[in-house]
Amino acid sequence: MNDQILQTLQLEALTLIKNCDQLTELENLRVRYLGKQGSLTEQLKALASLPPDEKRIIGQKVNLIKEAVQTALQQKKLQLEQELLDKELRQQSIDVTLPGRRQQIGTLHPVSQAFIRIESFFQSLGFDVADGPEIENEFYNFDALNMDETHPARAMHDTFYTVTGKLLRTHTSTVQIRYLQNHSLPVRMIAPGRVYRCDSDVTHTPMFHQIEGLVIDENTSFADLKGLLQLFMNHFFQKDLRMRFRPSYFPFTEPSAEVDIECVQCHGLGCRICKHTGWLEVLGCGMVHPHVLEQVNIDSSRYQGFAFGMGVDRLTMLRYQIDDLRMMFENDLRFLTQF
Amino acid sequence: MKVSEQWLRSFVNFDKPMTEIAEQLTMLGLEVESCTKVAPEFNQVVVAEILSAKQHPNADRLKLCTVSIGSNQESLQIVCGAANARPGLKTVLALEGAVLPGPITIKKGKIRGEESFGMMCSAKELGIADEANGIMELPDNAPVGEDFRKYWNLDESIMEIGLTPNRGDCLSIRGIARELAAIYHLPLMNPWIFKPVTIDQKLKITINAPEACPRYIGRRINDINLYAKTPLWMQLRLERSGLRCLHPIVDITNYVMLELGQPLHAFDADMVVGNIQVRYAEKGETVQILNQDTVKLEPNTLLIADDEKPLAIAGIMGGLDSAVTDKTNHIILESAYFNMASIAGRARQYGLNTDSAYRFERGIDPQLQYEALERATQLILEIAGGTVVASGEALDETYLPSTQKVYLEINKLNRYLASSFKTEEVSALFQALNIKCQTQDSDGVELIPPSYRHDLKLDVDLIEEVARFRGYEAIPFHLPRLNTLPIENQRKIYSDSIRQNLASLGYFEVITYSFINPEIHKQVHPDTPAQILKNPISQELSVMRTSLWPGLIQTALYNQNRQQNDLKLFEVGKVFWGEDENSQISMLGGIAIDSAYPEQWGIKKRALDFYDIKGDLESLFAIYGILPAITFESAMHPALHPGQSARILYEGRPMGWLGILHPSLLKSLDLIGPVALFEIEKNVFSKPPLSPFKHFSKFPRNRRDLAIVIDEEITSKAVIDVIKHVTSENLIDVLVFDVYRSPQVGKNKKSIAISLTLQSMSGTLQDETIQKEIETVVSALQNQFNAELRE
Repeated sequence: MNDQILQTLQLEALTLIKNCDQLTELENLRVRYLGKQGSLTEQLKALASLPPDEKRIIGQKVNLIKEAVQTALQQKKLQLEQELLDKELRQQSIDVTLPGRRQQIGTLHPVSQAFIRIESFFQSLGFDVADGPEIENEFYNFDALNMDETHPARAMHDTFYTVTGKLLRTHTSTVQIRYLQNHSLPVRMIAPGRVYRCDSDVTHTPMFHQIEGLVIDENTSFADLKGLLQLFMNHFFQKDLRMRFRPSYFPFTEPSAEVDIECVQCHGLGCRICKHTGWLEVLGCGMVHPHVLEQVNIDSSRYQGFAFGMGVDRLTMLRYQIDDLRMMFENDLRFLTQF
Repeated sequence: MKVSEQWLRSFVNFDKPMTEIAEQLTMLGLEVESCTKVAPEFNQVVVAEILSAKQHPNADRLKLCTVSIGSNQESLQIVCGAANARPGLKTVLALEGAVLPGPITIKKGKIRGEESFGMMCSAKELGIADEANGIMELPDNAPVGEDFRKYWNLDESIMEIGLTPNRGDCLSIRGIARELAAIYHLPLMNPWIFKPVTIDQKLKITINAPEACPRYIGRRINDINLYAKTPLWMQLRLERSGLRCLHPIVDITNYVMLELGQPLHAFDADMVVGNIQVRYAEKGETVQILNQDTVKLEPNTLLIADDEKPLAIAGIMGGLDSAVTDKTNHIILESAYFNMASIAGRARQYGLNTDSAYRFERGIDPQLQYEALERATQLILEIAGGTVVASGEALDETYLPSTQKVYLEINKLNRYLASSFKTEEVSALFQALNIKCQTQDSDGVELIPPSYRHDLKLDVDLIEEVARFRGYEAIPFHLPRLNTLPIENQRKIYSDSIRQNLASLGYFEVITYSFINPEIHKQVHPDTPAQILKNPISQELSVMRTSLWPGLIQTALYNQNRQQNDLKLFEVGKVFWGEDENSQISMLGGIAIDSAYPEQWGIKKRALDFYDIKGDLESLFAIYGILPAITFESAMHPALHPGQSARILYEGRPMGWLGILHPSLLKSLDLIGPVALFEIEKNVFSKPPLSPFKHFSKFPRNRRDLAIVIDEEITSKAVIDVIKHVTSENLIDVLVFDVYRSPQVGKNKKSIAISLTLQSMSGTLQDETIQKEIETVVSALQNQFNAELRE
């Protein structure tokens, strides 16, 4: 046996392995060279008949060739296996741009979202959140708030009455008295909720939402009221707004004020929303009237406080630039999905 | 209230533009809602008289007029197309070079071959009316040649002021002027000279209700001029204040009311039998009033009557029989003080909202009656002639409101306004408001408000006056000191998060009216009476809801009518089982319609069913840790499918409902289904238990599956209850993982596959132990339900 044959054998084996592209074929090659009857195995077997010197030299050579073939086979196998896996995985690829399987996600009504914003602001300043009945009696809605039967303000409330003589609360101020009856001083609370007035046109719905605020303490002043509301409006609209307090009248506060903010749409320059005045009327407020405090036996020479009430629907409309009040309670899906 | 600038200026001579006046009044609490010029800019328009009007030679519809613009001016030829252009008509003429609103410049020109030296104008062309029919027709005494703007008093603005109900004193031109005089430190003028009439002859007046009418003054004026006309200046002021001109006497009473705030009334004296008396109506008494209606009077109503009959509803409206007409020769003028309470609500009771009632309700000046009567008398004598023949007053001073002293403590004022006023500053401010400071020391001032300010009763009312006249903008911005601890409000926190969690489960929040259509109420809750509104907006919104479902169903219908069928909606709000506080219950309700999932490629479209929505609710309960306390039991609800409805119980107490809408309701409502509904008391979520940590086993868990065949009517809950009852504490979970029906299983039978998970806290469970548990379960199920084990 000579080197020539061995070298040819090595070259042939390595070339075939190199060119192989199938795992089955590679296995055939392994058998062909390294199997029990493989060419290299045969060569090793043939060593037995050689004289010791030659056996050692040739044996070394054959073993080197065997190792080279084994390494080539191993490498090729890894390569082919990897290629096969790659191919398989390539076939499993998906369109990642198709939408995922899901349940739809709903939304909160914009009025609820406004309530949450308002309530969390006041809660962070230590205000309690109170609730009260919506079918009310005249005492809590009017009499206790310094509006006796003949009070002209009472006629302006467009009150809904039930056939039994109860009424639907016309404002959340009803909660003031209810709250004071059940809590000790000092108090600071807000009362969000639905209110009702017998009025329905483009700018009025017979049901709407208000938030009432009440603070009673020993030294609470009108200046505190101004500061609190300024802070609140800036927070709600997320900008520094000019604000204007105008004298006004509510039977249950004295002094009373109506509050205008700079129009959030036109920044006070004048537009359709603010009727070209540059101002938006957003709430009513004032120092709690002594007659109201007397209703709940609060010593008005020691305690004083303020109350405010605002229309949440209007604030919501301004925040989201909703220009038609009626949409708020139609609940059209095309409206609801926007918030 | 509409306020004429010129009229206002007759009381207070301010030298500020009207925009500034309007702004100032608004900041004084007299909200100026609008301030508009009476006329737009135009010039060179004069009063003219048509001397002749001939047919235009070349145009059928045009006239050739000769127009005079004054005796010392040459007459002008004007071509005019107005049908009312006729000789003798006093009208307005825009001269050559005049600029009219638009702007349009008037030029001399030829119209169809005839020269025209100006244009005769309609009120619309001058921008002083929205509509016009032909050129303006001026009174016969209009001064030819005079500038029309001056003649028609067009250089002024009209303010519309929205007054708060406490400021009855400002329901007059003089009232507004008082405020301006005070803020600008200007004198308040009187545009006329007060000359009281002295007359010996007494007019007899009887007051039977002095608590309601402490003062009534009557005055008889005879022989008024039947042909008198209301002068132009008065007409213009009345019209610009929103009043129609009717009769000179009526116009004068209205004029004085607007000017001074005292409502007056004039009776035709020939229609008054005997003496005037003020009394309450007798039951069943009627009177025909000025608007021709016959009113059946209630005994709470104050009347002006004569010896035989009611003449007027006091302070509200006069009677038709005694009204002043074109034929009235003699009148009786009334100037009275009716107290607020005796008028309040009465006008509304009869649906008569008159200017007079409006003022009495808000309180007039109890010292104004004489002055107003004298002013009216003067105007009547001036305009309509006549002679005052008798005058009389009935007065009961005990009931006439008198001015009360109010003590204002300076410390309180400064505490309220975060200010540092001294008594002297405050006194000066009050003097400008005609509020007398009687005594003052360093602690405070004693004040007497004028008779017209009945709203100033308490010290806080005077604090407001200080704030008003100092300006609210002068009050600083502070923040209230926080000397209470923030309160964690669980009810609110959960109310917000329930909403957010339901939205995450795919539901959109809606807000529907609390009042609903009684028809749909009857369909949903036929056995529950609803609270009924006495004065609803409409029949469709006339009962208070006892469930959130009617609103949700109607919202669903609204959306389905707009091709939006696939809906999941919820609402949080009160329902009204009764009128007391405890019957007004906050609920959480939902509706789900059409498919279980929104349409998508990855999930096959499937109609939703009971279990989809039950799953949503279970998820919601699980979020709040209350799922173990909840049970669903089969029960019937009139609005729900009898076989697919469940009552929801929390710790055994009924708290809500879940089910599929009753098929007959689905049909009658014309909804596209399937429709699932749920409603739960919101309270359920308000007190979630704080559950302490429990240790779990470190030993292996074992699962054994069982499939049994049982009768259809046996509930899965019954099966699970039995399994839990008979097994040891090693059973840590039971799960129904398949329910299967087929002919092989048998008619009215079902196969339920259940997995039991067993695990011990103390060691690895041996097969025999597990086997024993399973055998116990199987035999219990066989005994209880005749269950058949499937291999």
